[in-house]
Amino acid sequence: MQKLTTCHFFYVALSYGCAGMSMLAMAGYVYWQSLKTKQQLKQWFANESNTKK
Amino acid sequence: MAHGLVYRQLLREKQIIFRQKHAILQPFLFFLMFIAFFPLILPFNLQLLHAVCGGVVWMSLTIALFLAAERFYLEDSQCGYLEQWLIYKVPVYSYVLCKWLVHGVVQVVGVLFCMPIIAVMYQLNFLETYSLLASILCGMPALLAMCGLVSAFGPNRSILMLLILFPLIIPILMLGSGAFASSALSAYLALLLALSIGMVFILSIASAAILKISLENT
Amino acid sequence: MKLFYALGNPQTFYKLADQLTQKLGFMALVILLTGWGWGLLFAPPDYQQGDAVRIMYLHVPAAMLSLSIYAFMALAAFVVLVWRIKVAGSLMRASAQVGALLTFIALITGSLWGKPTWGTWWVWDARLTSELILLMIYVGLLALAQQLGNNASADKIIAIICWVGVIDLPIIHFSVKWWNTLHQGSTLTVFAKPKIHSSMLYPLLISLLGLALFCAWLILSLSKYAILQKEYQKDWVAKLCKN
Repeated sequence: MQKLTTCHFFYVALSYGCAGMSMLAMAGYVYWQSLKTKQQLKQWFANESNTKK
Repeated sequence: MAHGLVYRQLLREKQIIFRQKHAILQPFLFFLMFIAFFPLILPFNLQLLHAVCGGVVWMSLTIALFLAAERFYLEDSQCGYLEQWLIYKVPVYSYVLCKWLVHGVVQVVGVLFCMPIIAVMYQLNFLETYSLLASILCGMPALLAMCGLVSAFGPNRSILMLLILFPLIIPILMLGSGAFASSALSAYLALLLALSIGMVFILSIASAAILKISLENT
Repeated sequence: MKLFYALGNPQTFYKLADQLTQKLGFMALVILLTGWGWGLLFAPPDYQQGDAVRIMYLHVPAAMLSLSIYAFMALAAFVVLVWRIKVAGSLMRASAQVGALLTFIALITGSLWGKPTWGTWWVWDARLTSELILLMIYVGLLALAQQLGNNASADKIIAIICWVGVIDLPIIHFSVKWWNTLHQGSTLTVFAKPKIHSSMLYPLLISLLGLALFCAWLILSLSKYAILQKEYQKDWVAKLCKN
């Protein structure tokens, strides 16, 4: 009985681990999007101020 | 006025097909060839053949329909006829439905012709042949509608679109091959017919919208 | 109605999304951790399945949300087709990404739950197959979005394909009623009393709420950045980033 419960817990841990990691990966993707946007905006404003000069 | 236009479009579709018969014959021969491969390649086991028959015929039908559908809008878009239809006041889905109707009739004739050959190759008895034929007749409009939608994206993108829309073809294939030699045949046929009617209506409007969008892009 | 058109304005939408995501992020984290903590540590094990039932607090919300997000995407697609609002297009693309993630989680956790309980990783049961088809539809929509680029006609095409695929939603929902194969029937319905004991029901509902808030946070953040990336040349963006 004890072994059965431990075996089950392996699957529980694996599924929560997979799901947690993919959710973290998605949050990381959101963070990467925010960085990409910031960089794009910075580049745009740098170009703008260059052309205005 | 619109009534006359649709009738003339139907005649024009028939003309296009009969002027270039090879465009229809090649997918048809592919269909037969693909089906013929399996009894030749698989180990000779009658139960195995009967088990795979439904799936093989339906897969082959899908690919053959896709190959035929690739040429749906080719001539018309090249000679500018398609653009005339797109800006005319008659709704474009009637054009799409004309095309599908004529191609569907031609393909039904082809399938009817193939049925004895398939029955001999797979050694099917009358009931099994009947179930296969009935399932193909009921499900082919749905398959034709999906292939028609795929071809509306243009000749360059059609394979990509087939891959993307393949998940939607899967239910048709599942129902179709499930209907083969099944005891609940009328249930499968009813579902296939419902799916066909629904898909023909919805996908003709969707294809018309996609044709219009491709016009905006070019 | 005025709110609807106000939301269509990228600037108003961005402001609203910005405020919401700040609050939603923390709320989602707190509620999700509460729900899963309760489910993992304090909820009772099932008398038949043992501890493996704790996967339920992950699998059921993920599956329910995968369907709801598709419904939300279909709604955004409808707005794109009828009103041609670009904000709805960004929302649609963002929800395609989040929905794909959740369907993937639902399938993986379902398969991991199936192994100890029924002894098999996968079976061609109606609900599992139609959920797999849903994942393929999501991935197809993402491939389309990647290939067609970020313009208005691409939005329209994605919206059309989204609606062509919406037929899968009732198939998944009613599949346990129509076909009596492996997957168990529904325990939670809107009108009837739930068939699950309250000590398991509460962590389930809390996890569902937490995961829903997390998805809302993801969708709003992604559409927020997508709008900024599209509208970067406008004046309100310049005023926004005085940094």
